[in-house]
Amino acid sequence: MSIIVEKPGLLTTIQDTGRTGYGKDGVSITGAMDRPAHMIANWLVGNTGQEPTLEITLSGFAVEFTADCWIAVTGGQLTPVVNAQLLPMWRPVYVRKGSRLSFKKVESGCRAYLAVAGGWQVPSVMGSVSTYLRAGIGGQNGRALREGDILSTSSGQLMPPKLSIEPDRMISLHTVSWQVSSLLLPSQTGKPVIRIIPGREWGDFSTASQQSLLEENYRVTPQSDRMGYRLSGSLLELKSARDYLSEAVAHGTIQVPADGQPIILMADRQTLGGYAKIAQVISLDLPVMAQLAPGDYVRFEMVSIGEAQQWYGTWVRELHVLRRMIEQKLKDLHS
Amino acid sequence: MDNGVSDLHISATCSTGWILIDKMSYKVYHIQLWTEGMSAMEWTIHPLGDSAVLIEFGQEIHGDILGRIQTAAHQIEQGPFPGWIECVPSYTTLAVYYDLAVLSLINRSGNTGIYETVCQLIEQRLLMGLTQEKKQQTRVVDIPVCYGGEYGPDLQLVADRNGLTTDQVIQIHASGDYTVYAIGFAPGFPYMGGMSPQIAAPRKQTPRLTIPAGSVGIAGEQTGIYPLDTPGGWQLIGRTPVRLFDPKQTPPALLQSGDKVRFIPIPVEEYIRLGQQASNVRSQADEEGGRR
Repeated sequence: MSIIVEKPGLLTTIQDTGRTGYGKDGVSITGAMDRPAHMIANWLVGNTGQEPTLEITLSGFAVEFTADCWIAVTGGQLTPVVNAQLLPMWRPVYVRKGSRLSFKKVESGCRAYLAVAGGWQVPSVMGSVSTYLRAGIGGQNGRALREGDILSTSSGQLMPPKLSIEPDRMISLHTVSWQVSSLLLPSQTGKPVIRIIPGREWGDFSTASQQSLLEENYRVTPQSDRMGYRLSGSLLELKSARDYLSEAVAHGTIQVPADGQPIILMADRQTLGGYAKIAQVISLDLPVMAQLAPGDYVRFEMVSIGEAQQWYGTWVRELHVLRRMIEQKLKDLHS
Repeated sequence: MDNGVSDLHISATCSTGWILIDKMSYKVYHIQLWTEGMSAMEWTIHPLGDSAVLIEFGQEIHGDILGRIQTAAHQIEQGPFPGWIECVPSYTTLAVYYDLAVLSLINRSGNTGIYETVCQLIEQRLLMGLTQEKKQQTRVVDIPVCYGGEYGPDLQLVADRNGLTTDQVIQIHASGDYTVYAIGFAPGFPYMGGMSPQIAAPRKQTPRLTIPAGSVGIAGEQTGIYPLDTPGGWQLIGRTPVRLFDPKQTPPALLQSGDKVRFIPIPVEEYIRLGQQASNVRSQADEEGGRR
């Protein structure tokens, strides 16, 4: 099975859970911005979670399927449509040969994930297929997808559905009666509260700046991308200006350059940074951050590292339960 | 593909290393720089979010601190704890990344938090580093550079700015003893210390849109090598035919934190010859890979 890219949209890249282990070589981790959406999309089509998915940004992406196959779309609500029919998200969908999938309109969120049973067949570079745009490696020849690209799939575990009537070529998709509950997913409201813990240089910032970060709204600017979210809002200033030696940063590090406007480092971030780190987004809220689009507002709330890690643990266990439930439901499909 | 190909072929099949450099006698070799134990090692651990820590070994750029970071990274990499992902060194700190999902499952019954557990696991490993008498090896990497001309369009500017001739700039740059403190900014890009302030020059007012891979530049009192074609504002004084980043090599970056670097001036003909041989070696190696 394969798909033909008709329109690449704003930015569509092949991603997995990232390229770790090469940070000391200066290699960015990259990978899906919204990890849970990426993994759940895979689980829904009977994959393990490690397979590549397509990360589709905002609008404009369109593909044609050359054979019948199971797919799942998760992440931001970008109004996926198969032929003229709305594609239900967060559940397995069987699409027919010749169908055309397109993303019509941004309802909420910023990034959708398209998984296919078996996963997209892409060569692994340094242990990952994630597209690393800056270095031109991984994914589809190290670049975003283009019109005319053909992506093949590896063979999947999921069998074709038992259809009550003989396959009718007029019906372009077949779906199930269940879906992943939105209660299990990080909130996708337009004005989320992002939880943070203090950064290493939190104490170097003026009390007024610390207050601003915790009390005021910050807006996501159009200069935001997979490397980082550039925010605009009240100036964040150091008590006294000083230079910092470059050192390692992490996914969710909020650094403040000389212009006083914070940058939240995301999946394609550089490995090292030389700006003061005022705070750090907790891991649990990174997927929420990843679904913010330019123009959205965000607020921050300080929590403790203990709380952040405890909540994450609870959520990991919920995800494990979810995965088992999905596996059971997929087995029922064939029984 | 005639002269010298058989030589290169042998190299390509028996080595995954930096064949070009070995063949051309620009050797990557190991010397033992210091052998004393790490008894003076001190550190503090800070959280870097909820999935990483920064171990701080000092406040300033210094070879001793670099050595402690190397030892610490070695200890942790040789005795990884469950959920450990990777270590990333820089000037004064070593970042240790961990998988919160894995540690959440392991730490389920414990009364201590995950951060505290990770700190304990790291401290155990650092303490082991204290008691073990270590022989630390330092690599010295020679980088051939063709200075000036089309490869170093800003060499004259750097000379004029410092009241030197271009030959003097080359001589000063090539006689320096450089230390790699960190790799970052771009894949394989070395943050190096040790350049003489006599050849310092500020960045360009307007950065160039494309700087070819291998370009050797100066920015302030720093010198560096661009591993990939990228935009940039450094003053370019030369170019190396050696590849600093190659995803097919292990490790993919030629230089590593802690390496010593020397620049060896080469004429244009040598640059072209080395560049051609590098691509020959590459296509040979690719063919080998394809056949397997």
